[in-house]
Amino acid sequence: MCLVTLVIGITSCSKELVYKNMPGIYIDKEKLTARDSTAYSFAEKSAALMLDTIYIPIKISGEMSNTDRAVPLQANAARTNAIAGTHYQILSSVVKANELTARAAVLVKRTPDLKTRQLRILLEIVPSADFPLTITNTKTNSTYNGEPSASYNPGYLIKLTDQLLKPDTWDGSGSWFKYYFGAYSAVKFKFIIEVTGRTVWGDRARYGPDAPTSAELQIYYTKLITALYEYEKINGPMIDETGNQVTFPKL
Amino acid sequence: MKTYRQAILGISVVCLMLFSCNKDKGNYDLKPIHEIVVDQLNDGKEIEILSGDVLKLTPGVKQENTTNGTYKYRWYMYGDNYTPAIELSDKKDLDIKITAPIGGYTLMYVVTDVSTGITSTQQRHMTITSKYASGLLVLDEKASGGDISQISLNGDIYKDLYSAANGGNHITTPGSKLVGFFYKRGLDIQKPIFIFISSPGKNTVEIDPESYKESGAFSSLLATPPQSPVQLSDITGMSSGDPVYAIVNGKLQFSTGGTSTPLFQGALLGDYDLAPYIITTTAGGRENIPSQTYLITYDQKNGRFLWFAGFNVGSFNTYSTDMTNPGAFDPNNIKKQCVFSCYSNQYAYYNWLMKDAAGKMYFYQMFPISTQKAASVYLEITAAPEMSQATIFAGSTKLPQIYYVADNRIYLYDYKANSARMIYTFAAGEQITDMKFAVGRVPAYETEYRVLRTLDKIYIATYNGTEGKVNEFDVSATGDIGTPVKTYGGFGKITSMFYKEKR
Repeated sequence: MCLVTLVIGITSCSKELVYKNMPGIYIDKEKLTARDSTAYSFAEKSAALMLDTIYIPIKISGEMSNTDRAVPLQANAARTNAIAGTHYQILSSVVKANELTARAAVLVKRTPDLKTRQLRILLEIVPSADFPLTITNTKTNSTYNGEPSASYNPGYLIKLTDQLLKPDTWDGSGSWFKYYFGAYSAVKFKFIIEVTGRTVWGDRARYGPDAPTSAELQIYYTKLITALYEYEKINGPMIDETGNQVTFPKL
Repeated sequence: MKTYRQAILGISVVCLMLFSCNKDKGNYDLKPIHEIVVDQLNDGKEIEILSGDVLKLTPGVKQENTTNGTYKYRWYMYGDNYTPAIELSDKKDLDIKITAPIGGYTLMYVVTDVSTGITSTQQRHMTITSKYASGLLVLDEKASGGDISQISLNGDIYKDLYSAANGGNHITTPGSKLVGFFYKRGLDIQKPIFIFISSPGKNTVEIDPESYKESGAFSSLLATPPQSPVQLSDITGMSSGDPVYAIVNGKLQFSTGGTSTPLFQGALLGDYDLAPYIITTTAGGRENIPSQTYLITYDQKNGRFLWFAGFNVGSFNTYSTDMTNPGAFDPNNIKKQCVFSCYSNQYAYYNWLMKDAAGKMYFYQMFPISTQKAASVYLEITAAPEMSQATIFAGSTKLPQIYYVADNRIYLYDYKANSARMIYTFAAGEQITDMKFAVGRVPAYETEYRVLRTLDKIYIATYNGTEGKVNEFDVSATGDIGTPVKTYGGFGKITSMFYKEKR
């Protein structure tokens, strides 16, 4: 008993441990549905939309500051073939004083060449005076056996086009794309957009303000199988770009 | 060890003594809250009121130790299925005309002391009824046009309700029909019965089931309406589950249901043109029918039965062509015109009357599976006088019998005996224009989950060239109808009747 008391006493007199702040900043991939990249297509948007903004969630490591700090987001020149100013513009953004998170804004522009090609913008955080610490990767909040279940690469790729692309989340878990429409093909997706008149689908056609309701999806599904039935009566099977027949699941 | 325990105990006692000397700094300067006391509504009794009547309630409100308090009042009610609140009044006493749909409600009265926020609440269950809630709807045609009257279950007659509710307008003549069904999810908005007027060459319209005011085009219930005129010929729900089916312009429209007003997603796919009868099936809650089909219809275009099972629009199905285990007939190869269909006296068997090109009549009975064994009974009808001329039929769900009409004569066809006999003749010159059973439409275990069950009354409309009459008969245990127990006159030519069961 005396020994324990002695140890406690000695420890309490030792010098305080000092935390040295080394601020860092990273893209908060926990907030992104598609963790490492997004395919952005103006073809899925209104024909009148010439500019749009993609927001990148940002988070800091280290202590909050009592002043605003610029987000050091840049495009990796070697791995980016979109032209700054022509196809995109990284807008100035800050982590506000006494805040841990921010949103960096990337302006993307609808140019004629996007009709025939897909361009890449690889965004990266670079060390700065405000954020000298380089964070090479981040880890998930979710854990497995006490360890983070995954880690993320530091960059974020925007694939920019005005062509119809496969929605990133088509095959995602719980995707209503997959449930109502089945396997993706470009021919099928074009048919879906023509029949439904809908170009914006949101995350997995299920989540977020851009997603259709389940009642809307049931109506879309009905319109699609009816339109395909009518198409096939006149033209025979609809064949996609891979030579497969376009079909919809039997629900 | 003993010494150690004593030391711990001693320290604990000292600590307790020290805390017991601590001054209690709590504020116990309590004041009475002056509760509000409100009299029970309607002296604590259930409130029953007719739709359209004025509800007056003047409950006493007192507050302890207060004489001139300032209060806020709120009267509101919500339906038995927790429908959104209906605000009624912000006055102390209630004096309001009740216009909500008929059904059960909870009436709430909340009194709030403005200065303290103290509230007191009283509630009472209330049933709104209507003299139009139940009875027989009669659509008749006069020189001025079509109209709807109602014969209530106590025999009171309310004439020309449609024109009264629709600014003096009348229903298109000739040949308009009343079509309706029970929709369980409609209870969410106190509207379990939907009624429509289907007129030849015109778009079908919906009418309010109590006021008979037109409430809109039937096509508004269709996500993709067909080309106008949009004509409804039959509509029914499932015996269990939410889906609703409707035959519109010969195609079967499907709704997943699930909402208080059904929205039809679209028509089932295929090359078909349906006879105006939908049979939704049941296993009665008493057996398991493997791979049960939910629905049976008849394709007039191709002379075959079609079935469907599912919860989304898909292709209409023909029956299996595997003939290794044949039924009484091939459901894919009937090649006759359907003249009538009805539920039978057995919950899982469904009756169809067919006529061939030569005018010969046939009886078919179907079971709800997709194989050839769905074909249960096939009869050539040889002993049913005048049946081939009949256009008005009514099937019993209590006995294996179908009533049919020829001019002023009523016959009763027994499909177990495969023969018919005449059971009543009206006076010469009285033409029978419609015939409907009193029916129950609420599927439940007790009713073997049938979507339609005939009761012990049958109504037969006649017209002698100047006056239409409704003749009410009691149906005996043998199916005989005797003579009319009541006759209601003064109508024009009655073209359609619809029975609303008691709510």
